[in-house]
Amino acid sequence: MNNLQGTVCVVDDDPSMRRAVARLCRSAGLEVRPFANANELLNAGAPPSPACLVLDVSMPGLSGLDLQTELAHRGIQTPVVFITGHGDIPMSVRALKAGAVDFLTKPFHHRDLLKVVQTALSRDVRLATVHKEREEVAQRLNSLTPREREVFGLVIKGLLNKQIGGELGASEQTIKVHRRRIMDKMGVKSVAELVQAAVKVGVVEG
Amino acid sequence: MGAVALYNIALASVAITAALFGFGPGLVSVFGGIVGVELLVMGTFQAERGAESWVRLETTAVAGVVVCWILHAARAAQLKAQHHEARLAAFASATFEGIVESEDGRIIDCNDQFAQMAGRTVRELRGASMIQLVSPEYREQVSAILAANRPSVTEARVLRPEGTCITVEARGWPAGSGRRRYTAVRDISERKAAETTLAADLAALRRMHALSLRAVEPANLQPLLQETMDAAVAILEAETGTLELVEGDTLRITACCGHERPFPDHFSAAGKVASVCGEARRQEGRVVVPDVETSPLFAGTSSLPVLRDAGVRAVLSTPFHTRSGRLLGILTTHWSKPHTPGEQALWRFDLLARQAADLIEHKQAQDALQEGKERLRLAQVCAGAGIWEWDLATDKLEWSAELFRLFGLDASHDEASFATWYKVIHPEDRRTAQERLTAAMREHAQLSNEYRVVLPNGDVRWIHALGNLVCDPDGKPLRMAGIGLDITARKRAEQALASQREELRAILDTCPAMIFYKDLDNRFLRVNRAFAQVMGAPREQLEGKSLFDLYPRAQAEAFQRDDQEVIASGQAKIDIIEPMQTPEGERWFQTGKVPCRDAHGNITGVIGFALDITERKRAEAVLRESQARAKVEEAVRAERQRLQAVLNMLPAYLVLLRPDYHVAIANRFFEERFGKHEGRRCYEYLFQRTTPCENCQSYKVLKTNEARCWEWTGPDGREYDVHDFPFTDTDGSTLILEVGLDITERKRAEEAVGRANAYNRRLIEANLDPLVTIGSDGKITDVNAATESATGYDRAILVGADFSDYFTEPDKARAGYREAFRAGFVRDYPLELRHRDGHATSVLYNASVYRNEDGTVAGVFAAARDITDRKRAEQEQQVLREQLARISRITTAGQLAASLAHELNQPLGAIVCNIQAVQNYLARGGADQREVREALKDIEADGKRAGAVIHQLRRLYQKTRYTRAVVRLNDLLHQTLNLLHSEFVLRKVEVQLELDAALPAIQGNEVELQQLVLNLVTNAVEAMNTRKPGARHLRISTGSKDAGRVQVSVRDSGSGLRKEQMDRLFEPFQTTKASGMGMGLVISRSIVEAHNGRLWAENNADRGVTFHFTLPTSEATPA
Repeated sequence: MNNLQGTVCVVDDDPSMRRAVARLCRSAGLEVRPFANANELLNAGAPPSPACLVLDVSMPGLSGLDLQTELAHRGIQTPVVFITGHGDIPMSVRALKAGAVDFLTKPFHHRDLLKVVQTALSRDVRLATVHKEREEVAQRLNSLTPREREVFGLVIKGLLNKQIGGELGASEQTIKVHRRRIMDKMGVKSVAELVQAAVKVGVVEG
Repeated sequence: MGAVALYNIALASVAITAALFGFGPGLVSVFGGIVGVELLVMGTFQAERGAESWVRLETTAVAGVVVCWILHAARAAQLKAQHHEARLAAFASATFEGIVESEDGRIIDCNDQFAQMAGRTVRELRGASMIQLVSPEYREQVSAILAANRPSVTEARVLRPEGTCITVEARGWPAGSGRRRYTAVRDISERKAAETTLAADLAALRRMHALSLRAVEPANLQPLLQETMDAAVAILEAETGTLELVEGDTLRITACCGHERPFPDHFSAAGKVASVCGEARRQEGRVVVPDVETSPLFAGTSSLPVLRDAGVRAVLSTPFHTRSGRLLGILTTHWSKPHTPGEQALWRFDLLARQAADLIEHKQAQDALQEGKERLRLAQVCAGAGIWEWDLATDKLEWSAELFRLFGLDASHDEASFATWYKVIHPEDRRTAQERLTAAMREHAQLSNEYRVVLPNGDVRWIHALGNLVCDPDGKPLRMAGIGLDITARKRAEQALASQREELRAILDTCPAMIFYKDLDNRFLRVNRAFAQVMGAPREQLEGKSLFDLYPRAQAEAFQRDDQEVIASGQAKIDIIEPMQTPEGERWFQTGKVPCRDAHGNITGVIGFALDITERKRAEAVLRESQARAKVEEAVRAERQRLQAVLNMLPAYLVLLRPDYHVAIANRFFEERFGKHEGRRCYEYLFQRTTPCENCQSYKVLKTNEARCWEWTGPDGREYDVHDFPFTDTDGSTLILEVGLDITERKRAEEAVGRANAYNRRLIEANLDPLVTIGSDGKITDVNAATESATGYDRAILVGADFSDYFTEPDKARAGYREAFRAGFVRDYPLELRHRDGHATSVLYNASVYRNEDGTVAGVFAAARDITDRKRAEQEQQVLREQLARISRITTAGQLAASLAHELNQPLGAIVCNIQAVQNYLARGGADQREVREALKDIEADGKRAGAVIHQLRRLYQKTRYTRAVVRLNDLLHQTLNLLHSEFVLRKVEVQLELDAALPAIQGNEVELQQLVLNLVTNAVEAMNTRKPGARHLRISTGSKDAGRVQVSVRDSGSGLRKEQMDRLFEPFQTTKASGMGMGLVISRSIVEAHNGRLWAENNADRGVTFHFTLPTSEATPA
């Protein structure tokens, strides 16, 4: 447990709960940023990765769930963990569906909390990585010429050079040359990798 | 032919010659004639031959004749003219008049006389303009005449060189041809002057003629005077004037010409002011004042300004006298400029004055005569007297007009004669009249003759003729003169008087009373028949006698006294009742005496009457006696009636009983009730008994001789209150006087009252509630059975004891009835009755004051309601309510479970985390002591927090005991709201607190109050369920508006309450919640009311509902 790294943003209107959770996380070696309500968090902005959010659901003003929605709007993808005094099934389902890592009911075991935090942080790391990778791929993709983009699109579809040439009205040879260049730019060796990259970026559904 | 021609020529020549030398026209005519005949004869014969030459010849002949004629005429004319001229010149020289020949207004020639008139020579005048000779005012006239140049006669004035003028008469006529004119001019200056004088004289004469005409007029003097005045002014050529006549000693202005006041007024006093007429009178002659300004007569006098004002400068006053020298008056004339009248004028004036004087004198005399005549006539008429005169010498009778009238004759066509006289005299009187007349004549005595005359219309007139004989110095009668008076009226009056007197006499004689007339000496001058009868002597013997002659001395003296009294006082005395001795004995007379007055009012005697009233007196006496008797009887009867009326008015019966049981007197009441006794004995008709009643209460009186009073039921069934008295009658016997009052009604009323009272009493006693009446001193005056049993004491003890002694709280009891006395009542006053054996009964008292008839408060009437059962029921209810409340709380608690759980979870969860954190820090080692300390602190706090929640939860489950303590509402609200914190968050309810920091504490049960708050807040939250999150506002406020009360308000922003909801708000089982009992508000209200507070709800103006409740502060809450 001690090898946790990252920042935890705790949002709970109940001061003792907030402090307790913050203390617990700190004692586990995490960075903690406590907030009394959702607005404070929004104002503060996204924490540096790796990070995760620990949100109390029932808060005056924006509830935790509302906050989650708002963050999603803002494109902040920091993983969210919900803690709540009441837990009803619809609430938890909604939270999880909205992408929460987990939904804990108070009182929770410290181990449960830390485990979930770790999961969240890991996800965040992963997300960050994924993000980075995607960024990279996206960058590479951008470097493709329009023609190359066209070819790329058809290649990942699994079409032959000849077929691609036929589609685009170019010679096979040309296509080949394009293909070679694409591979270079994309930093992949195979079509499969290309497809993967495409998938990462979202050009193709994985 | 030649012969004829020659002949004709010869004729013609002759004719011419004749003509030239003037043989006269006759010759020419002859010649002319011959020629004419010749022409005719010749003409017819010579008609056919050589007519033309003949005709020429003849024509020449004729022409010659004509020429001759003309020549002749011319010559003649010339001669005539010459002749005429010569004559003219002769005239001109011979005439007295001036003659002018003029042409076109220029003088050609004139005679010497004219030249003289014009004051120039003939030579100078030749060629002069005629107009220039005429004085300017006539020039126009003269030029016109000259221009017209027709015959004219005119007056003009010739202007002489030296400027004077002479008046001339000019006669002009045109001279034949052209503009030539001849004018004869005559100097008429003298004539004119003479004319003027004559005219004046004529005028004067005319005036005098007019004057005399005036005199003839039968009118009075005034017009004559005025005429005189005007004539004088005219004759003297004056402007104004006055005419004064002598009247007695003074002169009076009787006529005025042209003067207005005050001129005449001033000079009326001619003797006293300076005046010309006064001067004239004094001097007895004419006085002239040519200028008043310079006259010494007026210098400095008061008349001068008057004269100036009237515009008078010159005055002439002339007196005029009668022929006999008596001054008649003064004529004065005035001029406005200084003037002295001319001689001629004065002469004329004197003529006028003479005539006027004559006329005036004559007129005055005439007037006087006329007046005298008129007076005489009037006198005759008034006297009804006519005047007659008999000239014995001529045997002629002369009668005045009045006499004619008296005889009914017409003076105009009847003649005054004896025959006429006889005719008018009444046949019966003729002889007497004649005899008297002759007798008077014979005896030289005054004639006094009365006779009747018959008027034409048949009326009869009485005439009294008086006459005196006038004799000559020898005694021979010359004539007889006298008057005849109409004495018809007098005669008639005499006759009437006589007949009246007869009448009077008859009346007096028919009168049964004695009537007499006595003079001042008490002599009977006249008596009537009755008097004579009574005196038993004929009238003649009585009349003239005095009282003392007829009556005995004493009586006469008495009569005389009365007479004298009447005479002295002048008052009638008419009620003398006196006795008189008569032949038949003494009789009574009623005498009246009246003073007799003459025309002057002096008393000349006494008239009296006496009526024999002897019989009357007698009758009167009898009547008086019977009247007196009757009066007494009447009085008695009236008295009796009065008494009877009084007795009958009594509303009780009154009866006088005799010892023998008969009824002496019974009043109406008695008879109405018991019937008329009709002579029966009392027991007979009252009770139909034959024997007296045993034990008769009434008759006991006779035995005891004392009054008794007892009650009796009468035979009519009614109750009577009977009073008996012994009564001593007028004759000394003892009777019973009984008076009985009908008391039936009273008795019945009394019984009714008694029954009512008994009934009331039974009701009071029957009442289950303890009833008590308390006097104003707090002492019990009356109780009922229920009170006895409630207190355990007998009423004998209770009545008179203090009311408050029988209560567990005497003070409260006293306060209660005092309040009743003060306010008039108390209602539901809680007290506890204390029973003798100690147990208490809870009661509520209703008490109210009751009053006497006069309105004063008599006491308090109180009724107690036993509320033990009620109390018990209330207590049971209270228990049930508490149970219900508890169930409600539990339910609430259940509803809040989640919330509570959450509230617990918070601190517990925090504790767990903190503990783990501590463990982590301890495992790590290191210097995180601060963290550890803080963690431990938090753990402690959270632990307490959790404990508090549990505590509150426990409270919800607790059974409440009826404990009251000081509660701070603000703290309670905080605690309760803490419990609901998560609920608020979950439901997104925004909570706002407005708590009065200085809120007073209240006395209450914390559990119940918390339940109350919980109910209201959960309701509020529930109400806002339908609102969007963000629109759910809950506001709770506390405050203390009124002293002694705090108010808490819970306001939501829900949808409010509809009217039907509001109406049934606090009814049980009203809920919108599926899982509710609907008892929340019911319980809430009961909690509030148990705390003596009030709970109510209001819809907010904007949205939602506010629930308010008030509670008394701990100070205000009674212990």
